[in-house]
Amino acid sequence: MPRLLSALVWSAISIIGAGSFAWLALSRGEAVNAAWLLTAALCTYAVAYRFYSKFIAAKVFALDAERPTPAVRLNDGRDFVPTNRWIVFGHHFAAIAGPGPLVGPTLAAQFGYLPGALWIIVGVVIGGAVQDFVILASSTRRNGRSLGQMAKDEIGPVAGFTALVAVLGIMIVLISVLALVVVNALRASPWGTVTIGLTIPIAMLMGVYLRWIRPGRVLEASMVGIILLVFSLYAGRWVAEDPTLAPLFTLGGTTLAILVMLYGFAASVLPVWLLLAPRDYLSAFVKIGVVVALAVGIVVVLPPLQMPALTQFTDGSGPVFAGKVFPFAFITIACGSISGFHALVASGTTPKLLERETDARAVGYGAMLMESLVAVMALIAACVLTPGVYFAINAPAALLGPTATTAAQAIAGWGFTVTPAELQLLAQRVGEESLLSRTGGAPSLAVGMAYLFSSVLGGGGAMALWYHFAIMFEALFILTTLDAGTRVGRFMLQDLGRHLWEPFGRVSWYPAVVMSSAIFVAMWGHFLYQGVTDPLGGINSLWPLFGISNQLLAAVALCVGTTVIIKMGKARYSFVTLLPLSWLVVVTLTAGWQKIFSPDPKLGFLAHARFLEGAMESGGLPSGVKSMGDASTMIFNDRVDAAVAGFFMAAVLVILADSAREWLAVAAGRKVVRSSETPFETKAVQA
Amino acid sequence: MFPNVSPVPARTNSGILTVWLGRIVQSLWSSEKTVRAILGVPNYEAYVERLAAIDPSAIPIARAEFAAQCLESRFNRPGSRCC
Repeated sequence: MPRLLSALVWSAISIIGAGSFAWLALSRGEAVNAAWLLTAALCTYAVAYRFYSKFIAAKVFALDAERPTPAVRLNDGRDFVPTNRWIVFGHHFAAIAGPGPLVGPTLAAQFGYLPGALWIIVGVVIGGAVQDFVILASSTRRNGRSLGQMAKDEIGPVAGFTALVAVLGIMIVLISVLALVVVNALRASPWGTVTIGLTIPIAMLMGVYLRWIRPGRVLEASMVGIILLVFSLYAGRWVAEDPTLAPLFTLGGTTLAILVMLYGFAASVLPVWLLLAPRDYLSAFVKIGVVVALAVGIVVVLPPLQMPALTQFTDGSGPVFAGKVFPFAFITIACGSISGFHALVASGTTPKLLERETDARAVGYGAMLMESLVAVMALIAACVLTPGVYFAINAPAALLGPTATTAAQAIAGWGFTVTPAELQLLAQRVGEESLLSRTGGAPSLAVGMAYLFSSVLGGGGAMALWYHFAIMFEALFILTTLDAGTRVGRFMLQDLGRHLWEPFGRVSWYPAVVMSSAIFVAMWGHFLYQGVTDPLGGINSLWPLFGISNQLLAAVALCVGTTVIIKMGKARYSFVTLLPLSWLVVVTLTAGWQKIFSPDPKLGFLAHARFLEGAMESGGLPSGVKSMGDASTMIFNDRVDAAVAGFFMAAVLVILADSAREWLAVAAGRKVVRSSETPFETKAVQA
Repeated sequence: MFPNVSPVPARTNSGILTVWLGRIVQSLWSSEKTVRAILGVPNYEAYVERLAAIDPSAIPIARAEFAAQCLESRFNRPGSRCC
């Protein structure tokens, strides 16, 4: 009886998953093994994929393998190409997975492992994977239309325009915060700086190879690129150990920030084949390799989680970023649970490749589960560090002080133990002068991964290489998002600007290209510079803004999804998107409100500005603020940040109100629903 | 197992290692097509073939031009690479 067997197997998987969750949640005092977290995640994903995604595919969309997809109907061998499901899965996964699921969970580990783990696992099956799947299915039924176009068609022009401006806003905040993560990882690290710097000429060499020497031989070029990457890792160590060269590459935050801005500008104005495309290929290879290596490392070592389930910082007093566990755990972890940005991928290339409609389930829902697993693994890698070490790396200098001794004292004040000698030894083992206050998440994740990798493959000497390998690949991901994002931002800016001045919109007129690129780099560069010079580390103000903007985009996507479902006459199933939508609206609005209006200067932008004003009036400046001029700049930045958060909140409300108006009109029968789906054509007609 | 590639080297004195190495190299080359599709590398052959099927009289654009156009359009709209 296969039916009975299936029922038994799925019951067993559910029970094992529930048991693992109970063990995770109820264990106190002793370190819990990472195996429990992995088991809870995998069982939940399996059950959700088997039942919930099938429900959405069958009942909500009624996906039909016989209904020709845009790739089949419009096949031009170029944009629309029917492609095998697993290749589309790989393509889609490589496009959605970036540094987000690695950095967010690492930062949220300050609350303990439990809030992050629950949000990643529950959030993805109810929210993130649903969003990606619904948008992919909707776009596939509309000839691969983009999210912005669907917002305009389904909801109205106001929602469409808001979505467009929101995308531009999220790109600016996203690029600046990711650039800040890179700058913090490379600050005063000659090894890291040389290794990452060398990836740029390596990519250009690959570009030249692919264009002039062996056109299209991507595998060859990538192999050469990967070998050169390993070489650059050793070159970095060689420079760091050389007493004359090392100081030349020991750069401060502001210098690195300017270099990153120049890189972004170059990527936007140079031809794509020379820099962007080869970097993208290289990054995709490294991405898949690292995800596999991380999985192997965790499964082989099965490390205990040193971080407690919950820390006292759930009350909002955390040193990594301010704010209580609600709403900030849900803002800090976006990618891995639900990421609005994915809706742009799911309504971009992917719907134009699907061979069958039914493939949308594995690609949309399945690939997002995979990204969530990456986030779980990043959380594990961050939690294998003892809390003392974790906070020494992730808390800003303003709280830890300048030396290992002051840091150990500050950390003891939070109830965790770490000795100055331990901190110095760890820094020495990973080949750095110091690991203190390397905020941004990337370095602590790299230490965790170096620990895992060196436990599997090599002794103490290997840890430095593994650390810099981890930093290299994180920076490679981030710079790939940064360069591609800057270029896209430049195009969007040109598209908006041509309404004001027509020549500005000419995409191949060099002065317009240079101007628009410079403007866009200046926009994210402003936030990057502000973050780099912030004595509180910058992550505290910028990462929540990024989280809010990303969840805003998810809210747009879920509004579009709900409208599509209602207009299909499936209003009774609209809870599928309304459930995550209502949670996101509550979370983004609460977080946005607190970031703007909280009376706590560590949390609220306006309170921080008032605090600085008060300090200036009384003539004393807080530690870390060097001059009156710096303080005025910081006050201005606080107000800009408050305005940006306010803009994102307003955008959420506009989209929600516009969507609700449309839903009510349809529900009350005031509006005749006309389907915007491409009509069903049988394959026989096509062939 | 891998059609359309040079035959698997015969088992020689150098032993089974060579055979396996040969197989690994071959499977790498034959998987290149898959890898390229996953990476989203412009596929000129598929374009030419498809164009001929749609409109036999149409003249396809040159390979370099095709690659440049595909890459340009990929990196000028949001959603090519995510966070």
